[in-house]
Amino acid sequence: MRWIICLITVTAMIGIFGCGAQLQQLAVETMQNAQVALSSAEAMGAQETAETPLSTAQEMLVTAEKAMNAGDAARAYRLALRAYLHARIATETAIAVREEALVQEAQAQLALSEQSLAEVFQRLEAIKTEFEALRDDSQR
Amino acid sequence: MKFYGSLLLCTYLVVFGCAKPEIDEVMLATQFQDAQQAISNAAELEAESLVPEEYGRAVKLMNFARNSQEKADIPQSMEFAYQAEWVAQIAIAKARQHRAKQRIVSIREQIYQQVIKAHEHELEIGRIRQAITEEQLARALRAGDKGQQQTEQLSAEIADLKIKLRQAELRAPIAGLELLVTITVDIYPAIREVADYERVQAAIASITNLIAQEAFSDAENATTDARTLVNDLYQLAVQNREAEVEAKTNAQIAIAQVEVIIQRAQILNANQHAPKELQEANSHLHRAKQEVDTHRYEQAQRSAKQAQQSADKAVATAEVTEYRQRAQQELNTLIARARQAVRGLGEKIAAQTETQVPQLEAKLYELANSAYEKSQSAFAAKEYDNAIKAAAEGDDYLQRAIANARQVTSAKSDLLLASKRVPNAIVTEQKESVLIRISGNAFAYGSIQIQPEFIDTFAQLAKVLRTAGFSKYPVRIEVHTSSLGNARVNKNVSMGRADSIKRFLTTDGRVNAGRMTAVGLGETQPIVEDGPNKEEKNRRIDVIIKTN
Repeated sequence: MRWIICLITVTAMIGIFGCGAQLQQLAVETMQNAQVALSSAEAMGAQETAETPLSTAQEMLVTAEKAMNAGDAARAYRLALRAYLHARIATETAIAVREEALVQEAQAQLALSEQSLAEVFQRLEAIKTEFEALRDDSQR
Repeated sequence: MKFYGSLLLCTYLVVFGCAKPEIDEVMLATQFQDAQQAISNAAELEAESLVPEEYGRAVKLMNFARNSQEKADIPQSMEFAYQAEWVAQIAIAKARQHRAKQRIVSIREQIYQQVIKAHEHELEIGRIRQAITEEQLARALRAGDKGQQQTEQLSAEIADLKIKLRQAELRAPIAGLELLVTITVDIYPAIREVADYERVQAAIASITNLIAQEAFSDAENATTDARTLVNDLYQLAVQNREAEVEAKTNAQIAIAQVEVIIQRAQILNANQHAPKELQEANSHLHRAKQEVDTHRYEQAQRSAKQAQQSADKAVATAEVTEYRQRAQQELNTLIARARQAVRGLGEKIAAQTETQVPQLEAKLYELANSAYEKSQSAFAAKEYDNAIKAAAEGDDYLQRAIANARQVTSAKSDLLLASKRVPNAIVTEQKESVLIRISGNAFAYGSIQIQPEFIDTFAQLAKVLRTAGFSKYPVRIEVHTSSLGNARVNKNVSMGRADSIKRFLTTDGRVNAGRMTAVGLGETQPIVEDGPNKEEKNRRIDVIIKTN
């Protein structure tokens, strides 16, 4: 009876710590992915345009590293995954802001184009009036 | 039984020690709301059609969250709900990007339309101007007061205006095409290096030439062909632009990845352990960055990959060397600590040799010595952790021995001081005890009753024995007689007197009887063999209080 209980306990412990090793590897890889995603966000200029998700991602990665050093791989993995997602939000937001700035530029060009069209239209109206006057004069 | 209890406790700690923290139902409901709101926001931005992958993933995660909630797995449900919200936010950002791109294309088309319209107005202006001139000619003819020369001049002017108008008519679409080419170059500057761009430019130049040469029919046909070419060029530029943005992002991500690896290599001191590989990696990285700056993204990705290979090598080499060095450093530190611990314990033990500690706390002192020997053996066998552990153990024994000895010595001093207040007594400190010797006639000749004048002596003695610091020390009461009279009688008397003293101390003095031993030794242990007052000196009561 004693040996059976021993066996069950040892098997449970091996199971738990065996999974732990895999989880540790997963946590390390996720932390690396999060680090890369963070660098990408910075390269896209997220410091200026997506500061909140960027700083959240940085803080979460630091906490994940601390959890890893404390031997809590499960928590490290969860935090690293969150850091990765926040870094992705920062990257995509930074790109979106950049594209939206290009829209502003295009709108400014459109306004200039509208102005120049209005000027041409005014000249057309003026010459039409001149022509009408000339014709009226001829009929008289 | 104890064994099973420990086993159960271990299992409980392993299993429930890792248990997930409790999450409030209200928190979960709030998170569900946030996630659902993010998904709705994404849907409003048409994320479902613009970025189906991200949007679909967010919805899927939300469904997972709901399933986990139904299975009462609240922490997992919470985690899925968080992820659903964040993925929905990614979908929102990507949808914003798509919408912005679409908006840019739409604005550019509007500009193009407006430019075409402006050209149409210009043409209209030209036509009206021609009509005005014709009207003026008709007037001149009608008036008949103008000469033939003026008529011819006006006719020539009209012919010239007609040509110019035709040229303007043909130039208007060309201007539109030129504008579209400019927009195309804006979208994708590298299009200028494509052969189609050259063809378009040549076609436009040729049409301009034909218009100038007044070959209007040819120019018209060429314009139709050129329009097809320009439209194709525009589509190509849009496609290339999208591919370029993707390539640029990929190159930047590859560079970022390499920077992370290089950073790791530097942390591992690759500057020292793998300088060549690190230099190579840095050089490739530098080149990749330059290539990104000059819009050569494919090359940048290749350079980044090369940089990554070199950086990986640098990390691998540095990791091995650095870990080896760090392990050696740690071992050296451990050896130093072990040496210090063993040596320190040896010195401490040696310092106590001349003190009372070895006598007063012989057992603990012996254990300390044994631990010291154990630590020396472990150090010699290079078992440094064990050496440190044994030294710490020895130090603990020694400190306890010193503390106990100090306590005993201090208690003994207090006892000596207190005992000196007992009347008719001489107090002497002995190795492991304090001797209180009561001389004089505490008992009448042949009696076992304490004399009234000695009652105070024993009452004071009882008070000392009851004092808190030494109330547990064992006490031996020895009664000695002179050699006068019969030895056997003396022995019996002394025994009776010893019992009498013990009884007094117990009954009147409230001293615990269990710690007292009373013996009558008769005349067997004289302290003086000869000399004056010999009998008086030998007749005595010795109260021995054991301090150790």
